[in-house]
Amino acid sequence: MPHRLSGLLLFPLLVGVWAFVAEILPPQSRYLFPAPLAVARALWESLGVLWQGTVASMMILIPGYILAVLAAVLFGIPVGATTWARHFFAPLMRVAAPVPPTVYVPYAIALLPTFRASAIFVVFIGAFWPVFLGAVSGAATVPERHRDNARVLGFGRWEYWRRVAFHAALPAIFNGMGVGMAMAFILLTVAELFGANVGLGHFVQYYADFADYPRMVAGIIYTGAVTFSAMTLLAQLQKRMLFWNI
Amino acid sequence: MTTLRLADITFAYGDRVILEHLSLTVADGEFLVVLGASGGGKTTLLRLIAGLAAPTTGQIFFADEEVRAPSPQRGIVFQDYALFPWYSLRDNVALAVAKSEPRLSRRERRERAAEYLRAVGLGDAAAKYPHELSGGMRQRGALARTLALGSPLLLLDEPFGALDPHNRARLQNLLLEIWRAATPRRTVIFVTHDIDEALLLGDRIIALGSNPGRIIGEIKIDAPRPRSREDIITAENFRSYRAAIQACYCRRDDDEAVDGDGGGI
Ligand SMILES: Nc1ncnc2c1ncn2[C@@H]1O[C@H](COP(=O)(O)OP(=O)(O)O)[C@@H](O)[C@H]1O
Ligand SMILES: [Mg+2]
Repeated sequence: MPHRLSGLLLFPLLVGVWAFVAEILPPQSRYLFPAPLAVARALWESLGVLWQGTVASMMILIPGYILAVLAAVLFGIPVGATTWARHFFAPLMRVAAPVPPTVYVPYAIALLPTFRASAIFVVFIGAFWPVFLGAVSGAATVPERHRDNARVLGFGRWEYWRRVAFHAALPAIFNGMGVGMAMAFILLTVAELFGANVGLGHFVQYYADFADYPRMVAGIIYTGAVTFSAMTLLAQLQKRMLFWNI
Repeated sequence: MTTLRLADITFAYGDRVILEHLSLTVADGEFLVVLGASGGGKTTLLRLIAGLAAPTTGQIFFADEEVRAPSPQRGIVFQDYALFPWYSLRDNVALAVAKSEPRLSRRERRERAAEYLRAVGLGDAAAKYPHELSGGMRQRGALARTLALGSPLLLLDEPFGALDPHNRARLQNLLLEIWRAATPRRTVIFVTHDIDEALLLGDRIIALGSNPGRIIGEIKIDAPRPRSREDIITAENFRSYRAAIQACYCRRDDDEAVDGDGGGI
């Protein structure tokens, strides 16, 4: 506990350093490095727009992410639990999973009819692979005693996937979901930098184009807060669902 | 009548022979204890009977059919507590009920599960999860689940090995009560390394020698039930059973000796 609290002290410290640096910079470069107070004012003034941007961004992130998790789990559990399927898909996983999904952004925007559809698609690709790899490896490494138990109980394939492999893989799935969530945010903002007219990434890009750096920094901080909230929510869900895993 | 027959079983991991030329028949309703040292191949033997592994040579027959795969007919309680940690006790047992009584509705299944849990003294813990239970409670839960499978053959792999003496004695009594109350009686194969436990429970004791595992002796225990724990230590007939078992191990090898108080061999 004391360690956690002392960690919180880091924030005022960082703001202090920030204010100090902004103060000692030569006047001609100050507009590039706005002081905390200027950023706070910009943040306050932009809250309405930022909220609209959040809604627009979430309309992309949530469907893309949820679809990715569902597909990755539904597909990954049977693949991981079936030896031939695991071997069959291993080369694809090795080649496709490490491709940085940002490379798909321009093509997806060109290919799909609306910006929203293409952004959902890239978020989907970015979040899918980490969750899929987690589901596959989790379902492939179910402890022997659980597999033996399932066999003695006479479980069929489907029952094994649903009642044993899925649960045993859940810790690995959640690890993948954490990585996938971070990926989803990166892809969302990259996509918005490219092609959106609303959204958090668009907000940052827009004010950078106008050299309104207080607003731009405010947008970065706000986006950080949104990301942090989403990750915290995910961690809560994980704690709830993995109560048995101690 | 013979329910289980092992015909000249050999089992090896690679070129390491674990069980060698093992033949055995078990009668319907018999309580057979397999006694042997740690690492002697007792778990391996039960896995073969359960159908979780296949013998390298030889065959196993249960109810006149060759054992080729696991089946709810041959329920097993594993050495380590093997309930699914993500399900409550009741749901764990209900999974077994779903196999033995597939026609029941979901609600009836859970009620049956609760009955099995009451039978092992876990009526109040039905909604708990394995991580919330003590070792003894988990092992009772595993027993309840295996009973709920309705298997005519029960395979128990040192089920009380990790328990303190008090809990172990309680669960031994419970197991005997359940076994004696059922008609027809289930056939039980109970694995242990503890002579006292073997003498208390068994109709017959098979002494398993290690490296490679083979049957080195067989003692029929004719003492009436219920048997008192005190008699097992002091009574004349049990002293001679004990001596007979120890003789099996002494005959075979000097550095193998059986330990009477459960400390291992
Ligand atoms: N998967 C395995 N691969 C190789 N050797 C094994 C494996 N499982 C068990 N053994 C060996 O087989 C022997 C018998 O093991 P086991 O049947 O568990 O003995 P016990 O239950 O009597 O303690 C041990 O020496 C053990 O090291
Ligand atoms: Mg063992």
